[in-house]
Amino acid sequence: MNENMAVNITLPKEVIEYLDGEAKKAYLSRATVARQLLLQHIDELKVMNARRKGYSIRKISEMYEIDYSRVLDILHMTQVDAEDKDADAYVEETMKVLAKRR
Amino acid sequence: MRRYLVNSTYCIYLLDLKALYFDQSVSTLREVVEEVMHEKTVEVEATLVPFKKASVLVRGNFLSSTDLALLQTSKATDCILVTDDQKLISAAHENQIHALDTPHFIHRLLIEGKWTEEKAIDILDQLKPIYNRGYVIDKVIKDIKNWR
Repeated sequence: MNENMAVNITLPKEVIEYLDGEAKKAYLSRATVARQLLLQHIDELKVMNARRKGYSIRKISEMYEIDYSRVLDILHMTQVDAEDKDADAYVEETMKVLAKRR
Repeated sequence: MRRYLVNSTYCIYLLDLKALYFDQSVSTLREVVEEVMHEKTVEVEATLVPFKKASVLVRGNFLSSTDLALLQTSKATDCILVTDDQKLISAAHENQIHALDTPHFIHRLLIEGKWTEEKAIDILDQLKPIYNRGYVIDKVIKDIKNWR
């Protein structure tokens, strides 16, 4: 069961101004916007770390209960997969094998 | 006839672009369709193949049961696995299963005469802003223009 706890943090004035601007646009409170951004960033970090450890997209989705499409979005935003050149090379190898089989 | 077994990444990307393609040689597993329908809340008409068991070697606990089912079925039926999950491609490599990502598979659809060059380039252009490795799209578009 998820348990929510309150946390007080001090932020620079310009960050507060940014949060207030976003809150005004979305008709939300400053705290709600701050919470959303924090949770979003934590999801991104979880996905990037798990990816670097070698977990598949589906496995990450299952482990952290993040939608599969959302994991894909995070991979697009962070481009963390660009670090894995071996898989790219294998795809190129497959293309060559298929071309030879004509 | 070459046969392809596609993963959810292919379905999700091409559904977003309203270009999802299946035929008798392009198929997937029921688990994948269920996953995509759950994610996108749309009906997916796909060519389905039953799960086939095969011996695959995987290190650690990095893949899900559906990932393993895709690997096993690809190996058992000699299908080319189509996925944009780099970790699944690496596992396919370790098990001598051929693998392509969606951009390269689009190139194959063009080579096999299933898509026109215009359609392939158009979909690749649309895919670039949402794809997990943008540079691959540039590379495939360049390959297509050189292949002409």
